[in-house]
Amino acid sequence: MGITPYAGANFTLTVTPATIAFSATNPGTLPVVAGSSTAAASWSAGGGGSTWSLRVRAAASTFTNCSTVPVSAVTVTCSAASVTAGHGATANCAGAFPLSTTAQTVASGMDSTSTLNYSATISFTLADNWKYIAEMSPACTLSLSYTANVP
Amino acid sequence: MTKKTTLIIVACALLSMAGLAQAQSGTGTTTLSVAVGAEAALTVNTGTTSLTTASTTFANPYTGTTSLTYFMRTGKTTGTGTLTLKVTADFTPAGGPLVATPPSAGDALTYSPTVSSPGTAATGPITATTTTATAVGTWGAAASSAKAGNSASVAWSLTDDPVYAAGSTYTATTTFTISAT
Repeated sequence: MGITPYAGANFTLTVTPATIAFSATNPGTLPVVAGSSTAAASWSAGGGGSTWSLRVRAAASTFTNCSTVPVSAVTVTCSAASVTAGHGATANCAGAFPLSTTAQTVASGMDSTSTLNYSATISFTLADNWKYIAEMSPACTLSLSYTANVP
Repeated sequence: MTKKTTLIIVACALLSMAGLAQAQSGTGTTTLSVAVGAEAALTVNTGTTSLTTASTTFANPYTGTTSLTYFMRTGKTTGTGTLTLKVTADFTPAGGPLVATPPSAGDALTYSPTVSSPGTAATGPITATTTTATAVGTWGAAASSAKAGNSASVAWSLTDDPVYAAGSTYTATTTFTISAT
């Protein structure tokens, strides 16, 4: 009798807003550009008393329509992470890191056997550079994928 | 025999449930959007450029070079960049050279620019004026400088005219203008 790996139970991970914009106007006077807002990620899941994590990765190595802007120019910073209190669970932000196409941990912690509400607030900054070719329209975009795992 | 088979099935069911507990996940997405504006900046490395001549026979002009560092990024498809200069304050004090009204026919302040890639220098020598900004360099679409900037320079040449009164240092101001679209 063989054992087929179970694909896993999924839950809904909500990330808002859908789009975060940067306006890179002058790398000489504004070398680091903040995103138009932070991203809020939230989900509910029943844990198994192990380590949960929220990870993010970029879909490509450069922005679409802006091939001179690498994803590594974007710094990801978790400013807050939380999980439902009172169940022995924990939530911790990881340190800031440059975005890449490899999934990196934004936040993690210990879950519990109860169904808990998880959330994380994430900010993004862009390091502007004279090396970037100017492009206002069409917009230069980059899709980020988040994965939350709750063992 | 029947009892043993039942135990195996139960064990498999437990393994399956364990897998279920270890694989919960959810996914979400965000789109990052960036608008990269055209921009240009210039650093004049030689704030004061002294024009000198080794000649005592008026055979050679006064010369000197102004060093520049430019920062540039132009639009991807239709962008352009320009660098110009204009004499915004003519030579003073009186009795020396003048750009607007040279004391002798043929006297001139001219320059020959160099602009490193991706820029293109204007072809010198070009006569500087007090009335019109004249070209130093141009850039095409999808041009960008290094983060630390790229080099450019202007090599000046001023006629050595015996009518210039000796004993004074004559000073003029040139303004550089750089822009990008």
